[in-house]
Amino acid sequence: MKIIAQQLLEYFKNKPKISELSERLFQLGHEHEINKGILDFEITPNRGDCLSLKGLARDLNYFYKAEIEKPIFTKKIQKLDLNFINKTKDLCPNISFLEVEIVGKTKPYKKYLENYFKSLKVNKNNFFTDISNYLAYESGQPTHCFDAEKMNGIFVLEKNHKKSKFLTLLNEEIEIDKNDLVFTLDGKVISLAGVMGGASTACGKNTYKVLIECAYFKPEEILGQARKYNLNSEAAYKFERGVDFLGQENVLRRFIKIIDDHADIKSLKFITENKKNNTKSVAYDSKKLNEIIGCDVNEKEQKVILSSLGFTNGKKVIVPAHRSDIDQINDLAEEITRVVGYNNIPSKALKLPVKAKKLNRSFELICRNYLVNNGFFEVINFPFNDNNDDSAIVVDNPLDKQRSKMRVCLTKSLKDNLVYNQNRQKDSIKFFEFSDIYTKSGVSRKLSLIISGRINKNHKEFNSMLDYGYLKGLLKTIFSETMNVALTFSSSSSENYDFRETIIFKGTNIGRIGKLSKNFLKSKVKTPVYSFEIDIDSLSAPSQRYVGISDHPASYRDMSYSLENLNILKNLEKKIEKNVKSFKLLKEAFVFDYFDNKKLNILKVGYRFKFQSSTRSPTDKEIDQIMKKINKDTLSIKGIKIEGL
Amino acid sequence: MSEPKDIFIPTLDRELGSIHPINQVKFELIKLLTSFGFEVAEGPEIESEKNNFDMLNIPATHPAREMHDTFYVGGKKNVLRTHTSPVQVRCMLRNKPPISFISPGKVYRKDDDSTHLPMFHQIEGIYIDQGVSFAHLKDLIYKICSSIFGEKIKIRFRPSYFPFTEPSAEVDILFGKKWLEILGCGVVNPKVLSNCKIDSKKFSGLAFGLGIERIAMLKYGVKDIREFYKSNLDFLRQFK
Repeated sequence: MKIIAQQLLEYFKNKPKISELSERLFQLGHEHEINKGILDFEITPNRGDCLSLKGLARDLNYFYKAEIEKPIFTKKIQKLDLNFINKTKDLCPNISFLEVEIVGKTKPYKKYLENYFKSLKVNKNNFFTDISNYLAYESGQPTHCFDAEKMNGIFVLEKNHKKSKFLTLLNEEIEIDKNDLVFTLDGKVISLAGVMGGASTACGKNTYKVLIECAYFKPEEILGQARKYNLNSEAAYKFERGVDFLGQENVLRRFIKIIDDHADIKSLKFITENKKNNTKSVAYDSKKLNEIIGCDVNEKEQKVILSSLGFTNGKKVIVPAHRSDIDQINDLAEEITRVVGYNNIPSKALKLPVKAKKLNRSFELICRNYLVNNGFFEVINFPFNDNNDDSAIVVDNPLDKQRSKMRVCLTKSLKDNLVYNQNRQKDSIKFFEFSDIYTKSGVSRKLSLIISGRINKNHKEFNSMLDYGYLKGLLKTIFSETMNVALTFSSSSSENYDFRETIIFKGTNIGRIGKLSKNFLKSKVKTPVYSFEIDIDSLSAPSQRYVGISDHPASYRDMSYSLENLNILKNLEKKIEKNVKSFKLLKEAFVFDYFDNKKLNILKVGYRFKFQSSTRSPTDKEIDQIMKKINKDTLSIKGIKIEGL
Repeated sequence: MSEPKDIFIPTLDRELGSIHPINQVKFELIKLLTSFGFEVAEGPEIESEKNNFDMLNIPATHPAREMHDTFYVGGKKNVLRTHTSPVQVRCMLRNKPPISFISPGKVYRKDDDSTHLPMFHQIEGIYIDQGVSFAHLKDLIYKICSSIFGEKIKIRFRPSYFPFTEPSAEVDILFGKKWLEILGCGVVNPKVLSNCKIDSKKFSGLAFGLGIERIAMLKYGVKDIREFYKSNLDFLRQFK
């Protein structure tokens, strides 16, 4: 909302500089910018009463002693005999009509009126509409001008009976829905109430007799109407935020005064209908007000402030009709705080009560740090896509079709992130995302990883590519290191993967890992892409317990296995893991060497076994016995040999 | 004596990854606010209209509830939460005062342009006890802002409007020569306390909410909010 600063200053006895005025307006909560004497406001939605010169002057009254009321026509006006029926008194309890007829030519606009059009670059229309527009700017109350010569018939305010076409006064045709609030003339819609009038009854340059409607509409009834019909309506903006429900007659009397400033009035007729007269009140409690604010504003000062804002003081504070936002003591506290100045309220030390806290190890935290230390970058994605999954939650009002559903997994988002970076010549990509996933069956917390390209930028790893073994090893390590649990895997399949395994944690399927298919990736880059996604809802890192460390030396045995093919390796791993679990002395076993020469048809895997006791050094005999058992187990697998045995 | 050959061997440099900058700021704020005594509470991103609006004194006719501002899901049964305040509603319904919670998380608004995203992050806090006032809120806000932006930071409070607080304020910080809006706060509206079965005659509260993207943009000098969600490696590499 734009206001001419000079016109606002004219309200005050003690005229401040514009810079000071600007500071006070900020203090009161009226955010604005100043440009060449024009104040451009963003008024908060609860302060419809400030959408005018008068409203802002009223709010500044405490500081500058405002003369709020402009001259009005004060003489008695003849009653208007209008054939009008208000069928929606609950939605429009207060409505007034003024019929004015002028004679002769209108005079050039006086400075206050001309200045409004010139400085704010508002287009002039016709005499009556121009005054209506200015008056809304000055008083905050919209009025609508019907050409009185076109108003012959039964004039009704009602809910629209059926969908009907309507030509606005801006000559835009819209189709008004059934049950929208409209003015009709002989059953035909002539105005979308509170929003915009119609072309059929609009005033023109030759209008000399006008019927001016001035109403209070229930804000909820007007809310969203302008947007619904894509109409730019200042009137609707004001009605939505609430106008002074008792101000109609005063505004129409001001209308007459402005007409009188510019034309010879031949006749005046007026009628009003007021069903809403009751003002609200709030119990006054000086102590409570100070408790809410947290400082001492004495009772006298509190009352001066409230009075300056139009409140009537007593045991109960009577709320003026223009303040629809006030109905409790906290609202009054805000009024006092605004005038005192939020920045002038001294702060009071706040100390929150200390509560005992339980410190848990978080799987997500450990995992996130581990991944970052291994060169992974965390990403965050929007949860919308267009998937075909039956379990996907549909967004009722999506931004577009591509974002019409909630995603059911993270992998697709990560795939998009990866392709985006591949297209920007990134040749080593390691991403992860943690997020909640919402589906029709509920919510679950997920972790997903995606990798592709070079392992790292150093001379040993530059030519090594991220592969399935890297990803699976990472996943296994996360679980063995943080959860002390060995994951198991079983083959599964999906059209989105070239190959895939199901990830099993303590007997439960928690996700999938595999190589993503080209069809799924839809990337020009041919580098293989691997991904896993797991459900981490049920995972919590166990608390750590110290286990005494051994001062006795460890012994090692290395064993080289020749494998007929790689498929056997899984069985070999299982047998060795089983033995690690069985023998207390056998602390760990890991693959320290892997040699695969397809030309020579040689496939070798080297395992290192570590033996250690907390009480003594293991004997060769003990170690040999365990190794014998391991060899027996592993050699029972068809296709495995140990050279020299 | 010649230097050992080893020192000329190319080093084995390995790149560190990074936590997403929005999460970095989120975690820092959680650390800061929990050090003040707040507990962390989380809640669902798909919420009922009741928790997201009604309980927070946002009437059925409020523009924020319209389809052009809020995402509705599942046949208009629920909404994608438009703020993390519903978590506070849940906390108030579950606990008796004194209550002090922060609720970090993703929130959704139906926006998508150069300055607004359909999803962003907030961290909101609430403290309910006897005798909590606007002056206490100011103290907390000063502490938060000086912890984030340094002790010399200049801040100002402006009256504002949120249906769930009264009085309500927006807080600006002086960044260079410009005042920038940084958070919203206020005294919890007694209507909200009553909705959450808290005796509003006995207890009062304060509440605040920060946009994490806003803080991150100021902290890192990121000019375009959309950069956070492009997942561009060149961008992410700068936040190690």
